[in-house]
Amino acid sequence: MWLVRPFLTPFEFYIDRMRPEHLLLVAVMLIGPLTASAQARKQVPLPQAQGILPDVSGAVWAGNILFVSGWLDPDLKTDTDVQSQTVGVFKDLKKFLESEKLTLGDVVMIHAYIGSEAGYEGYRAGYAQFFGNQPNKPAHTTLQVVLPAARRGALLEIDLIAVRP
Amino acid sequence: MRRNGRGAMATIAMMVLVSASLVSRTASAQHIKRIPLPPSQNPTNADLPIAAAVWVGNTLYVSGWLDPDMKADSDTKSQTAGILKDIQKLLESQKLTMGDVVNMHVYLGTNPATDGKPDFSGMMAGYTQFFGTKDQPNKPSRTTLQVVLPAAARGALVEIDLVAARP
Repeated sequence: MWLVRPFLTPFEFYIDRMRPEHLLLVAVMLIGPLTASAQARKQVPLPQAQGILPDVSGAVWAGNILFVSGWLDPDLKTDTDVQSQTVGVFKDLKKFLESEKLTLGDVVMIHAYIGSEAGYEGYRAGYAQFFGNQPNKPAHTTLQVVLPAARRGALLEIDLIAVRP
Repeated sequence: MRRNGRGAMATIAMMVLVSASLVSRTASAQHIKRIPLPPSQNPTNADLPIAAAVWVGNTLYVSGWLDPDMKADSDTKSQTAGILKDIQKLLESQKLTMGDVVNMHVYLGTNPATDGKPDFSGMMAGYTQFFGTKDQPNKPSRTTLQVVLPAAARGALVEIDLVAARP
């Protein structure tokens, strides 16, 4: 028999003996990890600057999407107006995203929770410093709420969703 | 004859290998596309640093939405319907329907007509025209909150943002 096909390569040899069950196995091996990787979950702890909350992650990766918790300005004592707190929050978020190898340009959705109506203008001014001059505009909702951290001096809180490009 | 069968088997095996590797490549790279605000949500055509919505793979994140005609729609029911009608237009432009909405946040503002108490049943009356109907039975997960709306000064009683997914 080997005299008939002396040039049989290992792959041809395998295919020569392959049965439908093998083909199915190959398909499962290739497609299986695909579904698993779409669900990959990773918790990123809350940085110390955001305070100690043992039951909350700073953010959670679900596949290529990062869901980030509500964020405060780490320096509420010094930053006593909305604009400087907005800059403080986005600076800290930028640092956090960089630790996950992301930039503010990877942000796709933002919720801004602001403590008072008077704060909108300051928020817009602070926000523009980070998103005004870059092309990647996120989807965005601005709300006025009662902030849980208001008694510590918080004037706004921000949560967001970012995506690995 | 048998050898032909094996040849076909080898071809099928190669096709499975190639297509599986192609599929995994497209799935791992998240395609991102940013949709600009339509005139209905930005009537003055200002250079606003936000998008109407952002595609991430097969998921569409939609910004907070207002009724384009808040002057005519002076109650929560008609504003809710006005918002959802306008969002429906956005979704259709992205080849989606209201049945593709998976998650929704409804923000109710203070309602001057009822001493500030938000009009939850008015919101529901607008909402149920679009979700859980005979023609559109799909219902999203939903959170309803009472907030102070930034657009309240312009007459807004309700604002909605949502997430939709391509089927």
